[in-house]
Amino acid sequence: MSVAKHLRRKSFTLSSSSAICRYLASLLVLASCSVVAESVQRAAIMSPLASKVLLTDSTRLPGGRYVGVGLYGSVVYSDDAKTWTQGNSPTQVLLTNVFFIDDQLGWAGAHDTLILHTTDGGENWAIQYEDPIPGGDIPKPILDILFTDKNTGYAVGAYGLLLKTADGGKNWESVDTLALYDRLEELEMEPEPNFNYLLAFDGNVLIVGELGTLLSFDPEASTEEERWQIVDSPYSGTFFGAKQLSSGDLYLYGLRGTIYRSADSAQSWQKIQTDVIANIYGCIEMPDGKLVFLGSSGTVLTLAPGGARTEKQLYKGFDTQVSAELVSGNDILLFGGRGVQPFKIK
Amino acid sequence: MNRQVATNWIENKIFSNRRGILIVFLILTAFMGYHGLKLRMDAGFEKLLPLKHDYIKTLQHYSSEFGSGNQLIVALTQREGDIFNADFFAALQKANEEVFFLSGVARNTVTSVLTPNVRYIELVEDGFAGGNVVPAEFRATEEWFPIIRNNIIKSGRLGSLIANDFSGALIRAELVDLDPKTREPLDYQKVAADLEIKIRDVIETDEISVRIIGFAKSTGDIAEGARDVIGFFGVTFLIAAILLWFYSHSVALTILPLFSALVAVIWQMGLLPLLGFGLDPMSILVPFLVFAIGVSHGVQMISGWMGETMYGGDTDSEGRPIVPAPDVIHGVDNLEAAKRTFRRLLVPGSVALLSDVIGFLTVLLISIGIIQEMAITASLGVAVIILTNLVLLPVLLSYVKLGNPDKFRAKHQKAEDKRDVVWRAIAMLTRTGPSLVVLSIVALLTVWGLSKQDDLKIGDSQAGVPELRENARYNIDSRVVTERFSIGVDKLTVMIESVDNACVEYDVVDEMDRFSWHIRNLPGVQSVVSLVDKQKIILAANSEGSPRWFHLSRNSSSLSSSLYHMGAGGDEFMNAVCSSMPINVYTLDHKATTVNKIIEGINAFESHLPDERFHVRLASGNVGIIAATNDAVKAAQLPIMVFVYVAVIALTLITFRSIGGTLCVILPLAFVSLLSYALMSVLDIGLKVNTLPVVALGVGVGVDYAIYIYSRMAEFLDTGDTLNEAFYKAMRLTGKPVIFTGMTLGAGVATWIFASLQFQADMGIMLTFMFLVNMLGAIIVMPALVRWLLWRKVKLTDE
Repeated sequence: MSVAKHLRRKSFTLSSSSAICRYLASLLVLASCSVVAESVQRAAIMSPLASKVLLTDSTRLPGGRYVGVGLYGSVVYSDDAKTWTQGNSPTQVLLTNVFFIDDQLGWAGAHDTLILHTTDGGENWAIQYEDPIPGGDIPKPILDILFTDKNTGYAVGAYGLLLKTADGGKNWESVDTLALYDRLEELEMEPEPNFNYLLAFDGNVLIVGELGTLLSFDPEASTEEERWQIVDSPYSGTFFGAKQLSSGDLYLYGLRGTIYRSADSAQSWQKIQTDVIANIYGCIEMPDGKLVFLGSSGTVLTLAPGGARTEKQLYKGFDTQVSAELVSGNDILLFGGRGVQPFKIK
Repeated sequence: MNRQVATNWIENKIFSNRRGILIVFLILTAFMGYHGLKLRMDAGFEKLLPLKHDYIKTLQHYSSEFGSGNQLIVALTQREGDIFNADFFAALQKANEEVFFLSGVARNTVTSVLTPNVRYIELVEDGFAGGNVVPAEFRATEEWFPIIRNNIIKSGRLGSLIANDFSGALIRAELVDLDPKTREPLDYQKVAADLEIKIRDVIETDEISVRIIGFAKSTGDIAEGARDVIGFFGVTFLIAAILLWFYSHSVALTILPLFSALVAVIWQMGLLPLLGFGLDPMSILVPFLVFAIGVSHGVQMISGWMGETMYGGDTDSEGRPIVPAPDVIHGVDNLEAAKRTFRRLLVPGSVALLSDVIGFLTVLLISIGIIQEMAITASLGVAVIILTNLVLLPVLLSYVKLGNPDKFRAKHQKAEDKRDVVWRAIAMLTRTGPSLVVLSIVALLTVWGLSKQDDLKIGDSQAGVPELRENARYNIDSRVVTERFSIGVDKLTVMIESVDNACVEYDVVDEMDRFSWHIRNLPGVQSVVSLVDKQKIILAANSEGSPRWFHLSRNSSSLSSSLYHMGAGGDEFMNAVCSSMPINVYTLDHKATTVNKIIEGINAFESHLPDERFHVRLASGNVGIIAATNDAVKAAQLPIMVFVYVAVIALTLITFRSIGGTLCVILPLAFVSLLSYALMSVLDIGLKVNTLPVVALGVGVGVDYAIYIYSRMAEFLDTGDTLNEAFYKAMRLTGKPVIFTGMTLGAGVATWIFASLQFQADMGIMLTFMFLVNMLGAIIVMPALVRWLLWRKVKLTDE
């Protein structure tokens, strides 16, 4: 359980800066309210180390470009998986995730409830949303962003933070989670868990998070009650992410070597034997159907298609890997504590 | 003439009280010898620091809170394979105990995987779980090793306590400067010796190596290495004795200069404890210098005396010696010879020795204790030589009777005649053609020397502890430890000063984080560690270890919770009220260029906070000390050169009362100074605390040759000889002793080249070069210069 949780207080109000923003927008009849003018961010230092520092997330664009984000506002991209270029980033805070809807449009989430946006495939980034201390309460970093089309997107973060946009991020607004809060409290569950990961699933959005949180969110729902569905969770510890394969199999991974598989759309779960106690932070699928799981203390695991037990890959070092991207064949890129590095799956 | 009156008065006083003088010298020598026995090696830490430098003030200001960085590391490394075997853990256990009970070790700071202050924490579903990395029930068996291996990884100490590839383990401890029981300062040499006897000798096997690094060990090793030089004294003595024998072919004349130089050394050593100084790796070299200078000046006296006893009766109508001596020759008696020599050498001898004293005194301009002590003791030593060589030696000589003067004289004259061709040849250099050849070579070498000046580096370029040889055991140990563990040895500590409780104020810690990242991006920086890094690790751990939370929180309660788990390890990153927080910058090396660039970059950082909330204060750590020392050297370089040259020029002007003559003496000297800088850049010897004094000494001592030769030549020029003739006669009379002087001085310092300390070797090379090349400058370059600089005043040869 997170220590910071003890410090947490209920927060129902909309974030103050977005409220002010909306007020200003209506007053000045602006199409969108730019928060850049009042930003507390300072531009990232251009650094040859940008691809060597802690990178917390990565993605591969349809056109083949790789993008990684991480410490000190670093954004790096590469078209050949070898040489890395640093993008222009307007912040020095830790970026926590990155999402691209096509070869040009992308978003990155960060601490300070900061959302960055690029329109040129990751080379230049601008601040789209920023709210360092929502409601003057407690800082809530953005932990994941998902767009289902160019305009519709969701951002989740710490302590039940949920933002959505209908215009490609020009306006982000807080989603009311009051009904969910009450239902979770009734069930004697943590009412404001960290939302760690978003997955488009069954037409809805699956939110996985802290303390076994597994929620299905229906953005189209007309009533508060229909909006949230609490999915039975196989685990009481934290999930850091989820992955759905083309076969439909759904995987969840998280704290202390935890991996679960569901072959029936989250109805029932099978625990995958990992024999490790390291946290699992990321997962990719190899061309041969094999899954690669990544985690802390140099943990790189492989799972044969349909397998019940992972195998350990020999990784020299004990640094943390958070994310990976496929290059070709058995070659992958690892993103983590030492930045980006090539790795070959055996 | 006043000068003559004064000389006569002193001469009478001395030679009419010969016995009294000998008794006074005997008593004083016994007294000094007694005190000299009290000398102890003392390699104090503070003496090595430029105390007036701002960086050192920072260092001293914080030494009570953050320690003076007096850390000891004992690393055990497995030669092959990893540490997971019973023998290794037994050895580690033994080493751990020995370190714990070592005198001077603060017991609570002893840290290794075996000590209870090293724990691992792991995240479990409902919070944290943890325990000792090596639990009490541990047995060195195959069942336990995988568990220990995992605990090590979980403890986050891989790299800091265990080698990155599990090939070694280390024990860290802090030393206290004062013995808590006796309140005596810690005896570093004893600690260093204990480390060898109680740990290295006992634990090292064919399988397990013991590596020891830390200030106590390096200081001990330097002191130990410095002691080696004492052995070289015997070699120096022997070389001087052999040279003297070949020079004089007389037992008495060999013994006397050695004896009076030894008296000077005894006095100098006796003066050290009387002044409250100890012997340190720098001042241990002073007796060599005093001895060499004593013998080399003594030989002038011997040579003068020999000349007088053999040919003193042969003077021309103007009272000048006839050169070369006539076939029928008359000497004077030993007392008269001593008196005459004294009379003639009193002025040039004193001037030459005074210029040596000045050379040493200019070194005082480097405001570093160890150097200033050396400057004081060396100038006193040379001042003592004025007494021993110009008073004791002539008095002793007045008692010497050559066994068979006629035979001695015949042999001597035969040898002199053989050498005559050499002096004639050298005298040729005063002619137009040869002098132009010499001067053009000098000009070419000057151009070359000037082109090399830009390559001259300030400070050290060698890895490891620069005082020790690159392949000294200590430096090898240090290399192995830095290779196998994630430990930097070149550390620059930058202090952030702010308000109380600054570490829970987001704007301060955030600024520190940005500052760290700014520094990390400077060229030459390997890594940067400060409180914020520890805070980020714990904040991430508080959020289940996720790297996505590796970030400082804007919430001060979260920030304070990040300090809660820090425990003992956090102390080194903040003071009690958290208003001072050091940033440790590990650099790739400690070359002056690297360090300067980093400091420049640090100073270029513009903080967004007001100064009272974010004040950057440079700098401690060994790299901070190196930077301060380099600054001190750089600041002293020009003043030292100006001072020593002004002083030497003034002395020569007063003595010779001729601007042309002064130029003839000074220009070769300046030429050799230039070449010595070029030599330093060619040999990759940096201008540093140890080599800067050498340049000043080289000038002070180097001028002696020219003074002796020029003063003799001036005598002949004044009485009407042509330049060629005057220089020939001067060479015939002083050439041999001057060459001899250069060789004895060179021999005195050349032995240092084999010293086990790098800086002594560097000084040896430099001094040998300066002593020998200055001699060549005086006998080759000076005559060529005389031809052109004194052409108005002297008769040139009828060419």
